[in-house]
Amino acid sequence: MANTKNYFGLPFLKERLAIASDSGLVLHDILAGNSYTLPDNAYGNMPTLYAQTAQPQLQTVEYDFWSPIPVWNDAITRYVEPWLPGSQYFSTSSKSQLFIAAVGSGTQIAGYAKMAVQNGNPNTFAYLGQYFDKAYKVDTNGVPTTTQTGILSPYGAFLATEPGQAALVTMPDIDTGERGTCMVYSVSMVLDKNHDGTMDASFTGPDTTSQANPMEFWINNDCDWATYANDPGFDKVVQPVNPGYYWDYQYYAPRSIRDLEDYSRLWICGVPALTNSGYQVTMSWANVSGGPAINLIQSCETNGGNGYLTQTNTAWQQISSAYYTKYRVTTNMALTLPGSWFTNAGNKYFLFEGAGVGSGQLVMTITQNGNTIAQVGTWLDLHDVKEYYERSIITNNISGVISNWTSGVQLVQQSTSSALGSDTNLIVLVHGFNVANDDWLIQSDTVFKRLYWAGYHGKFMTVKWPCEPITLWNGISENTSIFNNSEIKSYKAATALKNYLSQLRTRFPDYPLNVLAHSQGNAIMGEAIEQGAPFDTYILTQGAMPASSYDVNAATYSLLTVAEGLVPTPEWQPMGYHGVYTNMTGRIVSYYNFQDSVLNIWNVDQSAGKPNEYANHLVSQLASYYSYDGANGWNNGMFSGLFSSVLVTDPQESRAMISRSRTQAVGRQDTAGIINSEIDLHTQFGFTTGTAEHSAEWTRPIQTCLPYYAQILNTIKP
Amino acid sequence: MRKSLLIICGLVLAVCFWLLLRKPLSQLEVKQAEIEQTATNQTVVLKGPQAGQASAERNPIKSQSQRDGKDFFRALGIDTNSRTPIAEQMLQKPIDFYGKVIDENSNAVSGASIAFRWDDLTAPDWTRTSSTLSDADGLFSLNGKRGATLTVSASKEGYYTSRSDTDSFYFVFAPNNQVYSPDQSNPIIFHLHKKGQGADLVTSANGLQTSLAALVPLNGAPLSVDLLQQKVGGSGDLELSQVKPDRSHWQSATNWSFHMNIPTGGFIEQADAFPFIAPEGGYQTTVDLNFVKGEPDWKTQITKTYYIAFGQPRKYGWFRVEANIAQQTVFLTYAINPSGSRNLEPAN
Repeated sequence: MANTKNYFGLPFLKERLAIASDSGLVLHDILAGNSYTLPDNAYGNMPTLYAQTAQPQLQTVEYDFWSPIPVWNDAITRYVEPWLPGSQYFSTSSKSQLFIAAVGSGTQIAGYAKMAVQNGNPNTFAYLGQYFDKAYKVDTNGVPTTTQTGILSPYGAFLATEPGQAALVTMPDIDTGERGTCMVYSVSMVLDKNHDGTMDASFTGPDTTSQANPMEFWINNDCDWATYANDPGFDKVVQPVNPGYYWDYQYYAPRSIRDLEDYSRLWICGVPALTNSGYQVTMSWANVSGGPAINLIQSCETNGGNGYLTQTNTAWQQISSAYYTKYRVTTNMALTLPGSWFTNAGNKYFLFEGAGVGSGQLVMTITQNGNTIAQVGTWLDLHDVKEYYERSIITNNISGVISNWTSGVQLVQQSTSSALGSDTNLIVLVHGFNVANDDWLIQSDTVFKRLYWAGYHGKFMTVKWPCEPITLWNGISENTSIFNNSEIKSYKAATALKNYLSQLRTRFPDYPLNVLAHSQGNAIMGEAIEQGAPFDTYILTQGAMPASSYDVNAATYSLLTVAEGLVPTPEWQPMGYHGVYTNMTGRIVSYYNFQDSVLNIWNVDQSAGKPNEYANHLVSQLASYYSYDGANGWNNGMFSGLFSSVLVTDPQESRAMISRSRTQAVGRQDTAGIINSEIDLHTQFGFTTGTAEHSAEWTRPIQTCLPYYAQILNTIKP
Repeated sequence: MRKSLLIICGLVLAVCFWLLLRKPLSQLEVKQAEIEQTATNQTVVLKGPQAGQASAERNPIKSQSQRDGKDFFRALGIDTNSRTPIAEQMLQKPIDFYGKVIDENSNAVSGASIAFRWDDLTAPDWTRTSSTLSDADGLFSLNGKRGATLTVSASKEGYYTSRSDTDSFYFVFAPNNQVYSPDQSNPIIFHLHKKGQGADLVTSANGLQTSLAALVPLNGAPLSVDLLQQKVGGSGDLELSQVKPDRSHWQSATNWSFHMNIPTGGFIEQADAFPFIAPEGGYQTTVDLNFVKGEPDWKTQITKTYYIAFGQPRKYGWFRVEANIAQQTVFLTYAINPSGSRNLEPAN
């Protein structure tokens, strides 16, 4: 057997014969190249042969890794055994497979050192099974770091705990110290579940979702209309006839930069380059209740940031044609994402809007030639935004004389879900004048959404009171008495507001009760507090009440004092404004804007419109009007009160209809007194002139006013 | 009976006709009032019928109105013969404005973009805008417009715009009665600062919040802040303490105080429009703010800005603190150069 080799090309060194004979078992070694004659006393059978070959000289040429888990094959509808070393179907030309694991899900890996037999056949290899040591994070250059990640067992069971590439390193070779490295791509879908502006991809982090704890978000069923090319958008009332025409989610693209406040971020992290045409990435729903649906758009931000909410330039880029195409995922239809999106490795950034009410798991599946190789999901619960906050309506009974007017609160709807969070805080919004029902709902939706994006995690309530509406802003410049007519209604609605706030205190005894009152909403709120309404922090924003109501030393305005000198009115409380609310206690903050145009109209009303309709009476004796004789106020009928002239004894009627403020509105003037601190809306947030700027916090698109809401959250801090 | 009724009706009709047909107010002979306008506060004072005079008669103002009505409207700038709404008459004042743009070396900046915005009740949304460029002398103007409030901003590529400049000008209903009076020979100055080499700064910004919120005990117990790590509590270079009343009774408080301490460096109070270079020395380790009711410096809210220095090796930064009497939380806004350089200009 000289120069004889075995299957692996290893030369035989000798053959040991075990011969059964009369004298027992005889062992004889035949060296290679030699021969041996069996003894005569050997039994006729062939001896048993034990060959000895040369020791294989092995050299590791590479490490290979495969999944030992059978794979479902759609084509043949059965599981297929993996082709591992030792399997009849295994080929030594097989290379490592691509491993994609879902964060939070385990994956099993079998590792082998492929070893060439140096002193054997050149195409003969040995595969030595490997134990695993540790898993390390891989940097953006593809280089393993020294930071460990995930949970790895020696037997190759790996639980990914964060997205990205991980290097699973084997135990060192006992002789050479060599190690193998298996790259695993851990993928996840990340949402900003807690809307704190940070996308936390960690396995058990604050953005983790589950069926019991999904991300709560709203469907985009408002209408953020834009009428011209550079229009940032405004909220258009969704008409009950053909509402689908107005719903933003039905539109083919984001309608305006304002519309972007109805989008949240979705990141797909850790997906490797899928350059083989056999790969496919799909999105679908599982475990649904109702009909959840979303529309995806690609984010224009290369870092997946939230500049679409905070920066105007980014927002305009986001709604441009390069990024505005929507991809819908419904329960009826899975969405196959364009393959071109995954030809490069790295995170993929999207925005999504709610397009259907319901809850379920949004699932991303990566398949290769029909075989599922990775699947990851995230949980969503989508509602109409109004289900996330509480709405109440106050009604006035305005029959009879003003002093007999009453009010009542009707609880409309409590929130049925919580998108904000579980913080123990309440924010109650009290609107101003000229807010019709639709406007109130739009305003409330908008304030809710912006508090959400500012990171508010408490509860939100909104109250509707029967203010005076106007049809056109021009109308108020022609007849400012609308302010006065609305003010008396606000006073008479105050009892109901007090009752509602008291109810909130009872329902939520440990929650700080914070009130945000806008414009003339401060008239109703001031009266409510006078009557005992509880609060913890009260924010007067663009308040349409005299500064002197809160600060007896507030600077007077010359034109008002001049008008007062010619046509006097009551000054001091209770029949006048001066000092009427100076016995309020608690934290009271004024957000003011020196440039507020609407409050300039308020100034005009105080100057020329008080007593109410008195100026008109001076011009035409036909008008009914209020007057003041230096001691008493009067409500005079037509023809100079010829037929009726009633003494005004109701302090609220006196203030609303007769008394002239000597100061500008608190929303347009520095005020101290019971105002403990102030925020200059122009200096800090750029609020300026124009009718819309009086309510800039909701008339502007979110990109130019979100800091206002961040300020509210600072103001209500303890 | 019927005759009595007819007489009564006739009398009523006569009164009605009298009311309808009597002379309009503007044609009544009224005593001319002297109008005196002071140079400083633009106060309009009418000398004439004594203000506030009223008899105790029932509705005596009825006759007073005929005498004071014209004075009343004139004082408010209202022409009752005009069809223009009262609000427009009162708020559409002539707008003329003169400004000049200079840089940090007081040199004129030409070609600066000037944006004007003013409220005009005749415009949609009551707003009009205009723009221009500053000339070779840095000068610019706006003339012939009408409104109540004008906002002006100046900017130029490669420059920072000052946030300290006054940008709002009032032609009626001015804060503190300070109505703007245009003066071409004394233009309003707008400051720009040429951009230089910025540095990577560590700031207080976290998410949407630009400031770091520190819940400082109300009883004077100190709280440390690690500015570089944005950590409140534990150890840090900055120490805060305050004594404040319970927030629900702040109005009855007679004093409150706020203190800051940087043992390894200190504070220099500043109000620079462009705080880009921190001073090398002169830092005071402690800031003590004490407020006593009744004293001239009594405040319920403070906003203070400083340069700060701390640590070894020394680091520099700018720093703003906001605190008020009724809130336990104190807000810190800052930018620090972690390299130790005094350059506080942000990276562009």
